[in-house]
Amino acid sequence: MKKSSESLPLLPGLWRGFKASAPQRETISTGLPALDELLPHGGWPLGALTEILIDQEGIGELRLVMPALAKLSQGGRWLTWIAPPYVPYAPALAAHNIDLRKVMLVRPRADSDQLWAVEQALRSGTCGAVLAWPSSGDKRQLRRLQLAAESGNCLGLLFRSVRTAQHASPAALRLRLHITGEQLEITPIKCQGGWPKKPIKLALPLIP
Amino acid sequence: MSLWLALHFPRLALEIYSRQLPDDGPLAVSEQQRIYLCNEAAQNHGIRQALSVSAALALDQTLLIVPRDAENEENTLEQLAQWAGHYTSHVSLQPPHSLVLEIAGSMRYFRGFSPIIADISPKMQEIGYYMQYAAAPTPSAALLLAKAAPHTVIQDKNHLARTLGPMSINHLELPDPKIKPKLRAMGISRLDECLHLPRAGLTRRFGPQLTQTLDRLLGHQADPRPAYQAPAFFRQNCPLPAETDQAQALIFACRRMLLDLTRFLQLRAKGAQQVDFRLFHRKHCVTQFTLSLLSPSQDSQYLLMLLTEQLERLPLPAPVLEIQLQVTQLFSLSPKPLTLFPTPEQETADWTTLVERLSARLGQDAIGRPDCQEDYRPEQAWKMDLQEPTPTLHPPQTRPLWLLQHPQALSSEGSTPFHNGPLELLSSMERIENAWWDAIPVTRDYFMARNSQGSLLWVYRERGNGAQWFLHGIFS
Repeated sequence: MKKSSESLPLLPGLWRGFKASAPQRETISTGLPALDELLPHGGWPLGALTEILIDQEGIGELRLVMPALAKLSQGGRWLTWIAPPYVPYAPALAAHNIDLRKVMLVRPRADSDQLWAVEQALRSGTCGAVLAWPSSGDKRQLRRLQLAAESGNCLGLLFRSVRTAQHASPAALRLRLHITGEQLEITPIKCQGGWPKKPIKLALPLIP
Repeated sequence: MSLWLALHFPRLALEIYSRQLPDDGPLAVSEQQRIYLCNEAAQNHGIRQALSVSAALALDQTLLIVPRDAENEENTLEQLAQWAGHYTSHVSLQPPHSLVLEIAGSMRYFRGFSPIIADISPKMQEIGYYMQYAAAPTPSAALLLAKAAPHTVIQDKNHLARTLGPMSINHLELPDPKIKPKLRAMGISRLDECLHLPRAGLTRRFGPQLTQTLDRLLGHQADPRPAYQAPAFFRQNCPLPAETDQAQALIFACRRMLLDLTRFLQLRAKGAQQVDFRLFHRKHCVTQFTLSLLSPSQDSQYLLMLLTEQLERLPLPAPVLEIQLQVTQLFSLSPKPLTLFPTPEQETADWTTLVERLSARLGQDAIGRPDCQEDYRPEQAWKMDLQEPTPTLHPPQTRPLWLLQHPQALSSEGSTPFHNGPLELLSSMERIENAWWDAIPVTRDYFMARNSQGSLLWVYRERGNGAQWFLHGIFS
């Protein structure tokens, strides 16, 4: 007699817990082996949003994503920074092996234009990664960004405050960063496509 | 063997307004307080030509009356002449409302006369002007037939006299207004009666004008028509029938103009990179704005999309009476490569589209690319513009990923700076000084510091300025 679960059609969104075949998602390696192990599918998810939740700046949140961004820019895809809180310093970006010819900065004057610009950049398909610091974002707006990232096959990185950790979010990956001493503690809050694993501690170098 | 195609636009004066109107209400064009032309909806209410304006308004209160704009009619006729250049190289303007095209040379390319007409008629309907056409071996015969007996095609000169015979002499174009009443008084009302009269007698009584006109009509005398030379720029005015401040109405009016612009560009195989718009308000007030593209384009849909973004955010001081579109510089287009796999050129095109879309809504200065500059001072070692960054040598020292736009002054106690708690200085000092010839002296000692929560900061101390501490960057 056939098992009833085997008669279910092979839907792409249906995740079967007893089989090891999770729906495959395209990822880009983070450049740090310990972090690759922590993340499902071994890297940052392309075509989805990733939220990085921090309590203060300067703990290594940008250095964490620099290797992947360097690889994307060297591969010819654009990196778009939308409404960054400070100036991304060009010599430092170059020192992290980012191709400055593929970096674009967008500074909208109005907050309402921010989310629009993020959506346009994610959807365009020409950007490999979009970094945004959204000042606000309810679930509906984030869902739109998630769909835009899917259609543009883009790595969407949203840097938000740790206070938003308890709000639900449609992002595929949510990581909380906290600095303890000289090491950065990375706690996965949400990992789509895998079980959240234990937090890890990394020491990030200042220059690669 | 020559063949001329005449295109007559009897309703041009009306259509330059009604093209811009989204609905089909009664509309009439007035000249000197009398109705010059009116549309079907107005005719149903009993309005006819030469009726006085007040009488027309009494018949139909909803009638929209607009003054006749002869200049705009001329411009429109010129644009139609440019459009007709698609079919032949010799187009001649016959103001006020006609064009005559020499198409004997184009017959071989189009393989006959009927394909030309089969192509022109639907396209003209699409553009939105009502057209009457006729073809004949001489231009004046073609013009006469287009007005009097539209859709007549005569290809053989010998049939000309026979076909033109029954036409009334009113259709003859004579500069002297006294000739026609004299002919009518003689009992001559048709052209064939006129042609039967002896030539010598006609010349003696009416002068050489009448016989010359008849000769040119039948092809016995040459009738050269000067060809129209198109200008190398595009300018079109669109007077709105009623002043408006709604973005939707403006976009609707601009859509037609952008279609005309696309046709103009396609004829020349060129693209436009800057499109200037001027909105005219009352009291000679003008609002100007420009649509700038990164690379020349012919696509009217794309321009309309950019225009929509810009118009929806443009503040208007007063309602708009007229819109003018102008393109003064034409650029050659690079041919689009048709490949199976996305090429680098296509990806550049996608990026260009994204930048144009963002800058149309956010403004040109909201977008930039960071670049390095050769300078020891950290705040001068970067710049932002849309040019491609140049490869430069990078300093070997560690630099923070975030730089503050303006260094933030920090309070200090003794030699320890404070920022959310005391800062612990980590690295050894890096001294940055600029040259004595620079306007602003910079003598700073830079340190990497960690604050009590664990963030890494880049701070400096000004030498000689009371040893003030500043925060300049964050090692993110």
